[in-house]
Formats: sequence, structure tokens, C-alpha cells
Amino acid sequence: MKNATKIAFLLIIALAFFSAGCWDQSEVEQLALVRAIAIDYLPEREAPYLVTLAVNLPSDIAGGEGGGNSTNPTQLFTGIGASVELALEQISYSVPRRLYLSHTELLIISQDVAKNSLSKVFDFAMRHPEIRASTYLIVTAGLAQKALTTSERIESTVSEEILGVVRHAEKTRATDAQQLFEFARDIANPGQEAYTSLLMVGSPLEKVLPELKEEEQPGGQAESGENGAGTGGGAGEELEDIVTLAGLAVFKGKKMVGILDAIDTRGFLWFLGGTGQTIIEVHDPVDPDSTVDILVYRVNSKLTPVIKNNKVSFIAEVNVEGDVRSRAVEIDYITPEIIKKLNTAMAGVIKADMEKALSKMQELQTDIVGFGAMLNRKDAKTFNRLKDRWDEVFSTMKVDITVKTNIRRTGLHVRPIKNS
Amino acid sequence: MLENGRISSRQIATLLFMAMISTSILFVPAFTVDKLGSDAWIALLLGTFLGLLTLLIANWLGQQHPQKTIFQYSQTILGSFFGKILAFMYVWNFLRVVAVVVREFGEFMTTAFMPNTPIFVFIASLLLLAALAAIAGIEVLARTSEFIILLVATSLVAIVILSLGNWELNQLLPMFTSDLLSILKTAATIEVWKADAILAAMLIPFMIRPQKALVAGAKATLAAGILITIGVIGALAIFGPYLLPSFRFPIHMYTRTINIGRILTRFEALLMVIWVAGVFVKTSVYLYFASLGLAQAAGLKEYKFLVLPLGVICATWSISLFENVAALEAMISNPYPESLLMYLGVPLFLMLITIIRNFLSGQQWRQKQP
Repeated sequence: MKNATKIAFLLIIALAFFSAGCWDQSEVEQLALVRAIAIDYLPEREAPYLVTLAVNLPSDIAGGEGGGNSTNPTQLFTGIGASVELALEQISYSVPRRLYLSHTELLIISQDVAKNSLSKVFDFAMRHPEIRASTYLIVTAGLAQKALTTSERIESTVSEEILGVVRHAEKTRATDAQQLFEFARDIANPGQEAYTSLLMVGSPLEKVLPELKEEEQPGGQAESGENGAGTGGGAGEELEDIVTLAGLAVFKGKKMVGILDAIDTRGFLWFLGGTGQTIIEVHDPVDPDSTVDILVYRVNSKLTPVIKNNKVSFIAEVNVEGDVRSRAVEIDYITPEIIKKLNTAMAGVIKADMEKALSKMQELQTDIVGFGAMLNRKDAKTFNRLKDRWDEVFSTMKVDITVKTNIRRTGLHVRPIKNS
Repeated sequence: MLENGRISSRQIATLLFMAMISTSILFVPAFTVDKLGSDAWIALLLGTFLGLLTLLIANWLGQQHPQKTIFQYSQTILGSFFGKILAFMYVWNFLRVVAVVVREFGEFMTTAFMPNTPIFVFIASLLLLAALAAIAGIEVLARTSEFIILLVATSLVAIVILSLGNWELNQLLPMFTSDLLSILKTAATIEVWKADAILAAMLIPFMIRPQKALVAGAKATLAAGILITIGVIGALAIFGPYLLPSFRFPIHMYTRTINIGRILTRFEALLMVIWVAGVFVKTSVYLYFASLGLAQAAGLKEYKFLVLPLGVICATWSISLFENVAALEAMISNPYPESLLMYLGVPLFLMLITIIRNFLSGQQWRQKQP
């Protein structure tokens, strides 16, 4: 009797291994792992949402066992529908496996989606039990689908490639990609507007620059026998499109209202501080015709609201640290006096940057820096009074910018190598 | 005696801690922040002190009536008839707690992890397990929870630590914007104030050394209160007070934002560990005491055969109690006068009567009673 109960127990436990997941049981071999979702909006159509999924096979990610190498590891599936869900459903008609969105790392939307109908798309992404809040949201200048049709050059898949470009941007001051929850937080916070990075799809520089093109063509024809397929850039093979960061897409509420280009983006990012690196070029104090390049590697910024006579203004203090990177003038050691002059020149450049970005933001009436949110934190009463017309207040608000720069080091050279 | 098991002071602490933390960790952050913004933590700490008050009263009553649960000494205090009615009220209340808790459990599992699985599968399997544990008795329950608390506490701490990189302390401001009344109101919702401290009124008679109950219980209440407060502050620091209330399970969202080097991700599984294990302990403790209370009030010799039928009642009740998840949320996010009455009012009333009768008879009540 006792043995019988024991066996029954063991059987029940064994059963647990086979019934894991209940109705939601799924095997890895039955899943289509979606890595990136691109959403386009085609305004004239009745079913305006064009959804493209980049799907990877698990075996390809694991290192291409069993012939995974021979085919493209990423397959694109496209569907169209009156909403994102309907488009996904249409895609599922032509996919032999269950679409599995838990591994989505990129949500790419086109400018048209961002301008016309982000709220529903965004709600879909936040509400879906499989899509994670740490997914990156990216806006493309053209069709979002085109971003996925570029081919990977370094990483193993397209989505990895784009993700790498975007994530690497955190170490620069080119853009500031937002994860879904950060974007959502910016939308929800009063006195703060959302932004995320803008991606451009286009031909690589070597194809666009006319000088390079001219060099390429006669060379490609003449030496085709010698070079073979090595260059790959000749007349025979087309260079494929690549993705490039192109600044920021700026929102007001859930509606995209404008773009900050690369310079404006840099100007905007000074307000936020951070550790992204960038190069600043200033005129050499010794010889105004030549320039000095300075690498910025650390920025601290502080925004302080000032309320005077019921008018709100801000003081923005920015502390910048940098290194001298290249200099053409051959005459001098870099003396403390020169550094002082460089500092002033650099501060001027940064301040101009910031003022330009600020006026652009004020023109668009979107407070993506979060001055309002800052005011709310420091002085909630004043902010609540201004909350409803904050956009207006922001667009005419004065911001006092003071930049302190500190060039710490001058690289491995004391002075340029010269002919003496 | 229906139950011969004995538990230590550490075990009572773990049982109370698990009962307090398991359900509140999922639902509390959303509605406290919704009502109070960044001041949610004040309500949570306040609620902890309310829980301590309940604990104090339950402990005092327990010391006055050694070896007796609240189902029994309510009869000595109020007389057989009213005492029994009170005991039945408690039993009813506990069954309701079980029903609500398993429903919360089911809703979370279906919403966040397994949307295709019918909710009844979760409810039924959990209640079956809880019933088995309840039949096994208080000692088994206590020992199980001693093991489970390790899982729960380490997972919680791990989640908080791993998410530190995403914290933005700026988001915690503006603070102190809500008025006192709404803070008090929020602190009085059942999940926020540690109502589960009432369990002490039933656990103390089974303790080896009942005089240690107060310290152990207070430790558990404070630990649970502080841990939940930290969780809420963490969720606030990541999402900010304006975004957080839009999430159904903020702590779940919060674990989903953890992404360290793109390798350390997907910690929802840990959250599920906390949730399943914690809810299991809470459900089995409440189911156990509902059965025990019913047996004691009705004068039965055995409680074990009551467990399974009561479990079935809870299972069906949990389904019929709420039409949908919105109704469930409305119930737990509003102050629920009945719970205040049962968990704070009634014990206070019992305490007052005991004091008055002690005063009138001029001697210790318990010495008069065999």
C-alpha cells in the first residue's frame, strides 16, 4: 500500500515535467523569435499600418549550427492592417511558427507613425505582455521597413546591427535613444516632453561623395581583374544602404513635432550632462586661421529655476572637461595661458550650441529638457499655477547659460612635431 | 486541542512576514502612487504602524488568554453566543481573504505570464496545494515558510539591487504634495496597513514561548513594511509618480526594465518565485485558520476534514467575487471598512471588555477562568 502511494506520487511529479506551462506551453522550436518590429503608416490606405518583423531562428543566434550559415539569419515578414495587432495577425498567416515578441529589442516607427498615430501603437507596445519596457524606441526619417532591409555589416543580424549603432550612441553625443519606459515616463511627467533618436537609412558615404565615385569607376573597370571581388564597391556590386544616426525626433505629448539635427542634438545634450564624448573645434588662440580640436569627455549640468516677479527663468550651469586632441600650429608649447584661452573659446562654442538648441526647442514649444519637471520638483506650487500653459511659458522663458570648461590634459604630445 | 503543533518565535515572524508581503508587493505600488504620488511611502510606513497596533492588541489578548485562539477567547469574553458569532465572522472574513488572494494570484499569472491558460487552473492548483499544507498542520506550515522566506527575501533584494542602475532619484520629487486625509485614507486600505498582523491572535497560542511573540511579530511587520516601501521607492525612481500608476503591476514592469549588459535580464521569473511562494504561504495560513476557527467555534473534534470543502468554496467564490480585473482593483484600492472593523475594531473592543471586567472583578481575568 505504501509503495503504491509512493509510485502514485512519483507519477504525479513526472506529470509536472510534461505539463509545464499549461495552455501556454511552447517549445523553442515552435517559436518565431521576433527581434525587431518596424511599423509604418500609409495614410491613404484603409488599412494603414504596415508592420515588418525581423525574425531570427534560435539556431542561427546560437552560432549557426546545422546549415544556419547558408541562409540569411534574419527573415523579414510583412503584414498590413487597420491596427498593429491586425497586421500582426495577417503576418501570422504566413509564418509557420508562433510569433514570439518577448525578445523584441527594437521598436522602429516611421516619422508618419510618430506624427499621426503614435498613441495607439505606443499603447500596444506597453500593454502587450510579451514586449518589454526596456525595448528601444526609434524613429526613422523614411520608411521604417527600410531600416530592416539594410544588411548587417559587423553584427550577425540586422536588429543587432541597428541596436549596436543605437546603443553605442550613448557613449557619444550623437543622440539619446530612449527605452520604452523612459519614453513613457517623459510623456507622463508634467513639464517634460519626450524625445528619442532618429535614424536615417541611406547610401554609405563612399557611394554618395562625387569625388569618391569618380575615383571608383575607372579604377573598378580597369583593375577588376586584379582586385576581383575584394573591393566589392566596383561597378558590378551595389553598395547596400546603411543606417545612420541623425539626431533626435522631438515629441509633444505623443505627437512628433520636429527634428533636432546633429548640432542641435549636441546642444540639447549639454543641458542633460552625462559622459558622452564629442569633439569641439575652436580657433587657435595663437593663430586664428588654424584650429584646435578638443575632446569632451565629461559634462555636469545643473538647472536651477529662478522666480522673480512671478516670472520663471532658469540658470543652466554646465561644467565641461576635455582634452586637447589635435592642433596644427607649430610654434608653441601649450602653456597655462593658452589653455585658459582655449577654455574661453570652447565655452563660447558650447554656449552657442546650447542657445541654438534652446531656441529650436522654444520654437517647437517642446520642453524636452524637462525645465517644467525641474520646476515641479523644486517648487511645485509655482509649477501647478503654470502647468496648463507651460508650453507657452517655456517658449518665451529666459535661460541663463553659464559654461565652465576645464581642459585637463593635452594628449601624448607636448607640442606638434615640427621641422626644426 | 485540535492542533498539537508548536512553533518557535522565529517561525511566527516568518509566517507573519510572508502573509504581509506576498500580496501587497504586486498591487500596492500602483494604487498608493496613484493616490499620493511620491508620498506613497508615507502611507506605507503609516500603515506599518497601524499593523503594529493590531499586533500589540492581538499580543495583549493572547497573553491574557494563554493557549487560546481568538475564536476561543471571544467566547470567554463575550459569552458563548456572541463569541461564536464573532468567531464565525472571522472565519467568513478569512475565507474571503483566501478568495481575494487566489484571485489576485490568478489574475497576475494570466495577465503577465500565461494569457492562454484559464484562471481556474491557477486558482485550483494553488488551493489544492494550500489545502494539503493546511491539513498537514501549523508546524509543517511554519517550517515550509521558513524555507520559502529565503527564496522570497533574496529574490526581492536581488531585484532591487539589480535595478539600482536605472534609478533616477530626481523622479522622487516633488514630495509632500498630498494632504493628510488622503494619506490616512490610503494607509487604511487593507493591503497597505499590515492587517495580517491579526494572525498573531491565532498563532500565539501555538508558540513554545508566547512571551516572545511581540518582538518577533514587530520585527516581521517592520521588515515587511520597510521592504515594500523600498520596492515602491525603487519603482518610483524608475518610472516617476506620473507614469507608475498606469501600470497594473508596477513591480513586474520594474523587474522587466532590468538590463545589465544585455545579459542579466528577464528577472520576471524571480518575481514569479516571490509571488507564487508568498501567495502559497498566505493562502495556506488563512485557509488553515479558517478551518481551525470553524472547528473551534462549532465545537468539532477535528478540523482537517473541513479544509478541502472550504477550499472548494474559496475557489468558486474567488471567481464569482469579481466580474473582471477592474472590479478586483477597485476593491483592493479603496478602504474597506469591514476589514478595519474586523482587524482593528473588534480586537480593540475585546481588549476593552477584558480590561473593564478585570477592573470590576478586581483580579486578573485569566485566573478566574480555567
